[in-house]
Amino acid sequence: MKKIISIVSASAVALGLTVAVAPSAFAACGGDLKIYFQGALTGPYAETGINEYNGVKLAIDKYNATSPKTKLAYDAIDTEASGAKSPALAAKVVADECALGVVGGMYSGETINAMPIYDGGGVPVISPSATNPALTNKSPYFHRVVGSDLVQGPALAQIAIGLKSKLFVVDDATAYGKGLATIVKKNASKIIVGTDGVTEGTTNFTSVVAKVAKAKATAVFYGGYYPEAAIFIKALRDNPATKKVAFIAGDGVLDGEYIKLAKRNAEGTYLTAPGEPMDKVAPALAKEYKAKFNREHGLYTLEAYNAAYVFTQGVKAGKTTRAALADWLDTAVVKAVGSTISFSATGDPDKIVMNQYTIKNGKMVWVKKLS
Amino acid sequence: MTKTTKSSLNLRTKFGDWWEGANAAQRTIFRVVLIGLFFALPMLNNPIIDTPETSFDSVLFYPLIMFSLMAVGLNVVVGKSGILDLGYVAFFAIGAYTQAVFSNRTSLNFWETLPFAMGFAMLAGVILGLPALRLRGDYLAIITLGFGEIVRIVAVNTEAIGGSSGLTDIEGPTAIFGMEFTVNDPRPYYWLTLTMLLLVIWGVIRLSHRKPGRAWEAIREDEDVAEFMGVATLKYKLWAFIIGGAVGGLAGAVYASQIRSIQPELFTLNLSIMILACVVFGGMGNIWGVIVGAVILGYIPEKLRFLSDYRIVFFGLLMVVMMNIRPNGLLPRQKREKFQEKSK
Amino acid sequence: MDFSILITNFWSLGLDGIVVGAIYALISLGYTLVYGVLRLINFAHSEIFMIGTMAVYFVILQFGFTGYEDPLPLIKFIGIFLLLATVAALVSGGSAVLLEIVAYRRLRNMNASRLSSLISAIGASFVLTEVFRIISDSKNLDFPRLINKDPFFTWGSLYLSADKVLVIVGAAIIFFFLNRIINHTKLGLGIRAVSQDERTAILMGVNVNRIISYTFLLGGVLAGVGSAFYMVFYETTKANVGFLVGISAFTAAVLGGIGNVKGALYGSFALGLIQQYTSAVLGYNWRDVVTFVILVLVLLIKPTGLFGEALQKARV
Repeated sequence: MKKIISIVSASAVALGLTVAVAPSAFAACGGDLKIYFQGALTGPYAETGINEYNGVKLAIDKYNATSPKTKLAYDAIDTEASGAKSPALAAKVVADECALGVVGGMYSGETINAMPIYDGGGVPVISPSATNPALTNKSPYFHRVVGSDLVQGPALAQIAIGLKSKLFVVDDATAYGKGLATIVKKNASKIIVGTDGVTEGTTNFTSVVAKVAKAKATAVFYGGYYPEAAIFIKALRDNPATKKVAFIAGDGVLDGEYIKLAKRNAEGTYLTAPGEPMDKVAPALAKEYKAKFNREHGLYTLEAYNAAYVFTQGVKAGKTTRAALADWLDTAVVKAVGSTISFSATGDPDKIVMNQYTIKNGKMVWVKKLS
Repeated sequence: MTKTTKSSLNLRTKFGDWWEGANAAQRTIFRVVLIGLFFALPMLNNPIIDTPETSFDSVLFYPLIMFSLMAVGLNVVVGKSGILDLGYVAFFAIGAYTQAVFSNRTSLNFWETLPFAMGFAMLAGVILGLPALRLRGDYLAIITLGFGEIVRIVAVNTEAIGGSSGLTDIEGPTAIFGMEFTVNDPRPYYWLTLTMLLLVIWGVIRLSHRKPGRAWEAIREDEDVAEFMGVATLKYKLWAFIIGGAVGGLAGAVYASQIRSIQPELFTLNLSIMILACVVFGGMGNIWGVIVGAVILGYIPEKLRFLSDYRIVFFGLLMVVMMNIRPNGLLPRQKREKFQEKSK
Repeated sequence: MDFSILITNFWSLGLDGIVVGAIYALISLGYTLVYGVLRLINFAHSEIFMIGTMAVYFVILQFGFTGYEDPLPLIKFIGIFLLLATVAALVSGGSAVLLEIVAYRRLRNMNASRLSSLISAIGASFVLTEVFRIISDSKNLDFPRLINKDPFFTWGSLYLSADKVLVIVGAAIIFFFLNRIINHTKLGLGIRAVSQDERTAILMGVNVNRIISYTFLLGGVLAGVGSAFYMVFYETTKANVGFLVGISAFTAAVLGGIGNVKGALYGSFALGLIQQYTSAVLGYNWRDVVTFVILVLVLLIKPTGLFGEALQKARV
């Protein structure tokens, strides 16, 4: 039975030979340099993710059409917006020699988990929509083009206070939802009559509605995403005691799916988002988007476009390595579509906007710019 | 039985015969070559075993070697002593959270925290085991399932440990034997876990051949008879739980130090079920079987990523088909039967 | 913590608890019946329920209802609901029988360990969840409002609406017929016989395979009807809905004493009420923790659940 030994050692030798050839895999990038998009392309949050990725595609295609010295390509990692999945996928980006920068992540949770990996690989990241305040303090490579929840939270609290309401705060225990709800609670502490927390994915809101009814609240803030928000608002409208409460929520609820799921109950919801209304701020680009992808732009399409645009300008300036590009971002001032983008030392944008939206006749409507 | 299973069985018997007949030197050579091969895995960059969408080095660490370590730990509980545990992820979570909290709040480094991570997981084993192990069968299964969920929900709802955002900035292990642990190189973590796995395997095999192993076997075969024959069933079941818990805690601690940030959503019931599937799929009670199970079940979904959406469908089908073809797992436990045959 | 809500909203929370409990009961009966005859947790049963909700959803799509504004008149609603429930029952029942053949039968005939069946069922459960996740693109699927849910009776915080009445009355009718089937038909006799002692049942000429198929069918039909109620009450479904509801239903079955039909029934209502009251007092997030702690306490005092394992001896 020495045969088994010889087989094992023979295969060991054979595999050993591959070790010798291995380093070739670490050679420099063979093709075009790549900008990756990180976000959900499948799963319940794919709507927002696809609209963002399309924004990236549009920016890079337009850049390539100017026949620049260094062409760029795009690619995406589909995290399904899950923090459990993002690190392993981020590792693949870091390992890709062609990967120059990342537009993403789409949501806060997945970004928080992926950042240590990107930091280790020195990959500059610009997020179009991750708003958790903690993100910018930790990582030197993280940037975003939108204001954090430190801006959105107080804005939401102001809306509730402006309504002279008795406010009930509910969150979905996610990094985004709970984070935003905490800031709202702090800023609206005087008018809060109750709080509760649910879990992402729940369908049973009856006990929460009972608590809202008992607290005699006249407004409800929901920190979370649209699938649960749609169920929650339906449950509120069905109970006679909470039929008339004002419903306030952040950008996680501002999505076409919310209207589809909540139907007429979505009407009049008070919503905020750091995202700009693309059809107002950049109507030409919005038309171009529609022509190219044959679909309406979404919230954060413009922000994703601008994030990718910032990268293309860096490459245009000859910053074709991760390190050079990351350094360049610290001081860059880029005139993007609808706004001028530059980053503070922490990676937050210098210019912060906040918008109020609502739902009217089954459509997302921009209401006004908040200070 | 199909032809392939027959031939694989033959190979196994052949190997068994060879192993019985081999002398100490041959066995040592075999062991060294095999272990060396596993240590060399990350260096190979072999296109056949590489995973298309995710970095192969990361896959080697998680899920492959992590699943293996946890499966070996769970095997002590499920395979050796026959306790159905659906909440094994709790121990993994406790280890990971201990590592994270100690890293954030104390000056202890990774190595100094390890005993605590294992200790807390063992303690959790006692706390859960003392009441729960009085129950049997499926009642015990749902209690353990509940325990796993409780640990996760408590983590979600406890702000002191980060709530649902979890904990970030977990330190990696300090360098050991000249090996640096950096964020972007999973290989040292793989080697570290492989070493731990070997030590755990060694420990479990030693135990299995001694009194606890015999007690577990008796409990698994028939708990009432075992008790009647004077086996302190509760004590040995509790030990199985504690040992399994310690291994889970160990795995969790290493995992947390590698991924650097943890959230409760990493520790869902699905993971418990995955590890249990590794154990049963590979062959309950056989330590080599469960490792094969863990490697296959961890590897296939990553390898199948090109199927994107359909990979889990395919994976589920494979589980059904394989269980139907080989109900006792790929490499079922068979040592005892062999002994009996020989003594006849 | 707010205990005063127990006083102000006692009846309204209780009503919701009973409605939720009734839906749990229809699902947990499937766990308990299968456990009775096979002594194994039918892990994929939650997916049988999910398939029911999907069937209901796709049938209603065929009707072209998109509206929310115009609920149906009562008679028309009852007609459509009966159709939905029948389709869901057939689809779920059929899937359950198929599941038994694909995932369990061969293993059972080989006398394989129960864990092998469990893993096989988990595999089947993965397949079903994923297939429907792909079909639904992981989205929440919205179900139109078929019936006017405005309250027709109000008393303090308590109010009655048509959907709640439908679930409670409908479930009561089903439990009545289930009781007839289990206790007064030949099929019920067969199920009870196999539950008590499979080997003797075979000797007495019971076709065990057939009884097991019928048991899966019965469990599936109940889950299917449950899914129709669920859809009218919650008006939404998704691919992993089975997991969310299934865990509670299974816990209810264990709480009552798994394998015991009456236990599953009372366990479900008890669980529905416990969940509703604890989430009102402690917050929704602690609901499942409290549920499991109560379960542990009950099992420590009564190791075979509240009502014991009446269908057969306790498994050891």
